[in-house]
Amino acid sequence: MALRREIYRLFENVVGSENISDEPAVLQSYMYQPFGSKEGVWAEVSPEAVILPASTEEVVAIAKICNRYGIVFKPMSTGWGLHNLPGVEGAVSLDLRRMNRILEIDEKNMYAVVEPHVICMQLQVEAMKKGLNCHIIGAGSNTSVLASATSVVGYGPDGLSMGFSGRNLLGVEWVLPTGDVLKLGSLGADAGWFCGDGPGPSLRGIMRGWEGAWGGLGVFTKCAVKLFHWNGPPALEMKRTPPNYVLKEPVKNMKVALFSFPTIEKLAEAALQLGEAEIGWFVSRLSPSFVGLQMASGANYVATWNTGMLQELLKYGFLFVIFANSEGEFDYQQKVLAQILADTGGQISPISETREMQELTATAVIKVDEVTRSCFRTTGGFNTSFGAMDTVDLAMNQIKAGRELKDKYIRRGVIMDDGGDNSATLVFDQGHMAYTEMLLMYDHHDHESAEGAYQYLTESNQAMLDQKLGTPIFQVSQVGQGKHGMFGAACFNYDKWLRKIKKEFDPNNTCDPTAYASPEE
Amino acid sequence: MILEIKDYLDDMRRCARCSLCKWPPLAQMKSWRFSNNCPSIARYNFHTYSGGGRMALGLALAEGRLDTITDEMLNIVYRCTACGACDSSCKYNAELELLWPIYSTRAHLAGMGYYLPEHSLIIDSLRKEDNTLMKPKADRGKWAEGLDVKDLSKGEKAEVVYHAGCLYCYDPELSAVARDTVLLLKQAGVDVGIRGSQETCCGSTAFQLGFQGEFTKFAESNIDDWNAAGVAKVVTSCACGFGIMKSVYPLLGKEMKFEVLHITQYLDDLLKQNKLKLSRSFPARVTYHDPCNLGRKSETYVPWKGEGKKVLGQFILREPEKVVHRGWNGIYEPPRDIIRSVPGIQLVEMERIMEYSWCCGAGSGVKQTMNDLALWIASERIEEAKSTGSEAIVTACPWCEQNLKEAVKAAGGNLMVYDIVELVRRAL
Amino acid sequence: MQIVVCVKQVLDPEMPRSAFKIDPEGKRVIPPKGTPPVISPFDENALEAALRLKDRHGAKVIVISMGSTLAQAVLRKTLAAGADELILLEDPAFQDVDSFASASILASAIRKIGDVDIIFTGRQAADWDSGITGCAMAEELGVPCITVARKVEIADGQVMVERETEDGFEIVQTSLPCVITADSGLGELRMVTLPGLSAARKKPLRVWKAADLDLHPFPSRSRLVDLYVPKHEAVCEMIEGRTPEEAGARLADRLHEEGLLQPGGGRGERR
Repeated sequence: MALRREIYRLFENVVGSENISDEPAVLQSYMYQPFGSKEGVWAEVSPEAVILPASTEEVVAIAKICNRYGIVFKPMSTGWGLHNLPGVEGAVSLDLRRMNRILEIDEKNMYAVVEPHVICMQLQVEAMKKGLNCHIIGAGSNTSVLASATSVVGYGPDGLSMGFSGRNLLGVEWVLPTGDVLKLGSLGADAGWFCGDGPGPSLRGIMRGWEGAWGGLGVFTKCAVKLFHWNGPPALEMKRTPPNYVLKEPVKNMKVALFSFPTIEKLAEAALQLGEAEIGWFVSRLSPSFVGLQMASGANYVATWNTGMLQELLKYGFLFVIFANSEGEFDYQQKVLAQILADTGGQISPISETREMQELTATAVIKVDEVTRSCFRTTGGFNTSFGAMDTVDLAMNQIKAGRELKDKYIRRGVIMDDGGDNSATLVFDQGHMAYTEMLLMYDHHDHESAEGAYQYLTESNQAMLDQKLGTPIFQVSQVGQGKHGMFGAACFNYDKWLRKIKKEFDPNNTCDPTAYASPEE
Repeated sequence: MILEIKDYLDDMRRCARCSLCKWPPLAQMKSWRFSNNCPSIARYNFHTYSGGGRMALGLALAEGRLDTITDEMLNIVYRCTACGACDSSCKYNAELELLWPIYSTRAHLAGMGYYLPEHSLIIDSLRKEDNTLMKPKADRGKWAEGLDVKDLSKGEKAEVVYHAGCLYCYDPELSAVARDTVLLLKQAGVDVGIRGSQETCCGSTAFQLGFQGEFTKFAESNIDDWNAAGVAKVVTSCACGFGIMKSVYPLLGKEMKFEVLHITQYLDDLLKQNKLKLSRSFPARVTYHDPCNLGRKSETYVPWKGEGKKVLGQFILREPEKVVHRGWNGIYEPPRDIIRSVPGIQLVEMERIMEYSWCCGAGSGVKQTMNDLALWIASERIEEAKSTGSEAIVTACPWCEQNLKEAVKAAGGNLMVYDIVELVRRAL
Repeated sequence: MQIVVCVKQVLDPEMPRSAFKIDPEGKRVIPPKGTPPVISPFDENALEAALRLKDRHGAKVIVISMGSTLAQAVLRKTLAAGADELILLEDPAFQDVDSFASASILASAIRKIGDVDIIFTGRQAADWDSGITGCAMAEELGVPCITVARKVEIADGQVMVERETEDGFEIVQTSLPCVITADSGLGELRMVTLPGLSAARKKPLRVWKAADLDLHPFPSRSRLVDLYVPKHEAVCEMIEGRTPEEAGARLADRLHEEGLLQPGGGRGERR
């Protein structure tokens, strides 16, 4: 069902003929979405057209046309994942690539104002020039700053010192599904970008909920995010060390190390204590396979894995980074760390102490550019399961449940043997919260493997429900009745609230509800 | 060695959609202003124009998801200089081939008779006049008139054959540089000859546009001619020629009884052996533009032929191990060493250099068929050069030079564009 | 004046040797990857002849091409060179038809166009080199046919053609309408220019299917029995010797062994 010519022309009048396309070749390339497809790479539903707006005014005009003619629209920034596409027929995609400016970096008040397509790496390199840094989510610095802050989760292991995207969000300029423009926080009072809430009741919770708006509540056209102090050089020089680029010079007063613990309980205890002690710049529990894939690929990785060394040394381990503002502070943090390790039986792992690993890990924790390497290069298909942003104990329980379930599917040979416990996780927000998700890798072009991964996801969701482990973070509507159908009743009917919000803010149901919530059950 | 799209389906199907192809290798990004690496998507913005988007397009074609080849689809396919920046960026993370799937998609289309009408001008010119510039074959040797140099096409013998390349032969401004190059080589005592009007195109443009058959003819004939001439070295000024001779000629399965060198490598050697001395000062602040074909695209490409075995459940282990071409082994240091040995010169680097250099915009037929796009891409590079405070940009490829110069002129700017040989001449 | 030029899309006769492969079961040449089809070279000469007449006398030149899948980018070259209209006769039914059938189909199209003064085509197509289609078309249409033309001129409703012969040329005159097949001596097709390409985009391009033509059932008068690349085998025996004289003597012995030399002096008999 192609977009009626008259409507196409209306959109064309807004953005110009170069910035809208319903050419099949273009649409097919947008339909390519391996992350989130049940099997293979192609989305089942194609957008009718892709539109490239350049400004808030153009977004407003597009939204108004959609409301008038009953066209569903869905915005995307970098578009990584099936959830970026509209899930209903007859919809249009708004690719926000042209809205990519860093509008302001306020050094004194330590925030940046960005448009939707600014990626973390762009913001980081500009911020570092001014002695600042930004929070980068675990998925990588190739993701959009604004998207994480407003629409999709937003955890990253640097969260120990740099918070969490949802919390770092300050003023927002928001084009509602109706085309009205709403300004949140201090921006709403024309007082600038510096605060995400108030004066008066804050709509930030309504907008974002816990996990974000998932493209269902309109288009966020600008937002401000907190920046943090960066004690490193204004520019980082790299050198080529196959297969990666790594820091040419180590950063002063920074130390990366992998620590291993005798049990997962001790590991969790150490993490909590680190948070409470308010030390550390970055902490992440990484699976043995994740670490191994940073060091090697192909046959080298398989050989290393088969020695069992990684699994043994990293069974209960995490990567921890100290980055201090002075030598004195550096010494202090080391001492506190040593104390915590002594309390919890933690040992520094020899793996991280080679020069190669030091360079590699230091680069990876600052640049956060390694996810494709560790998650997609191995089998091609990648997905994530479980998920919590809650207490450390909940995270640990999820890991236990997840490991059992993953082992089962690994034994069946349908997902990759990554040791089972492949959780990217740990405390953030200075220990106030803990994050976890269980990663899995499978061959999305192999029917048995894709089917197996799907069954695992279904079972893992059920396990979360049965064992009261909370709601999965990414399993939105991809599996079974969808997240809301399955978990709503068990979780204080949160979905009813989402639907009410959806109905209120999107009376014509114009913005794609697929990843968020539809107004009716 | 004909490119087949089916050889690249596996790469096309394993793109992770991570968009790393749209940026320089993330760790090497230095500013927002120069954070693009793909000129195609930087200009047109739809995902389709990126490396990953082109993989999806190729896959859709191969899987029959696109049954009509429209003019717009062809525009999309060819609005790309095949610069390989996407390939280089993907390699350091996902290790997929991107550039060769792009080539194979073009070959797939061209084989069926789908190409831009403007390409027929280039191809017809090749078939009739042995060059891509629609100039007469008989005039190809004119640049060397009056030059006291051996003519190998007349049976003379030399150790080194200097292959000027189509653009150096026919462009009046650039042919002066070709003459200077020969004079330099002779001054350094090199036993050099040329093939005059018998020199033919290297076939690079034909290859990149997907006209595999045409390319094969030119490549095979060049190899035969150089083998028959008995030269030990083929030294070329054309970066496109060098790139294709190094990366693709060896795949034809013909013995190449000679070494292929770019003029910058050769001059660098001569300088280091003191056969040429740069003694005149040239005080200038300059920056160097890495031509794609001299850099990341000049690595000898080894197509992977093997099996993907499943181990550890679903881990795909390639046997034999795949050689990953990151573009790190391009010719980067020799031109820089040459520049640095010019007395008084100050060399500063742009942000996007070496294997993540920003394309000049001329490649793969774009200059001849889409001049607007070529000039836009060049203007981005010129901004980058200016941002270093340089008064000149030095490069080692005639296509880069011509395009950058034209872009400077169009903008009314005053950035100087030098061929590296020009620099050497000034400093002798 | 209205001129029709029949051009055939063929696999590139200049494809690299290594790309030429035959499918023995399907009895066809496998389209080489990465080498687009081209207009048969003698058909380009035919188009040049038509365009020269257009230049001089102001004719309308219509190009027609027949096949099962036609490459528009390839055939549009005719418009870019100066033809006024392009009609593609495209139908799966037109696959692998022989020269007589081709002539029949082309003749139907020409009848449909109507009012055609001259029909040009190449003397033979670069794939099968039969050289029949031109004459067969003329027979179907009931008009004269002059083959192997290297020069064509029109005056007072008569056409004068210089024809290539084995040892020179002859001049043949006939009235219009007629079919003329072109030889390479006529001259290469003029170079296509960028303005020509832009103009080509605006010129009419029509596609006719089998159902659009008033086709008589076309008989296949030939059947392809086999298609193969002939094997050349050469056996070369080197005759050695320490001196040329010794080698010569040994050669004589060898020839004698083979019975190729009569004993005794004088000239041997030729076998």
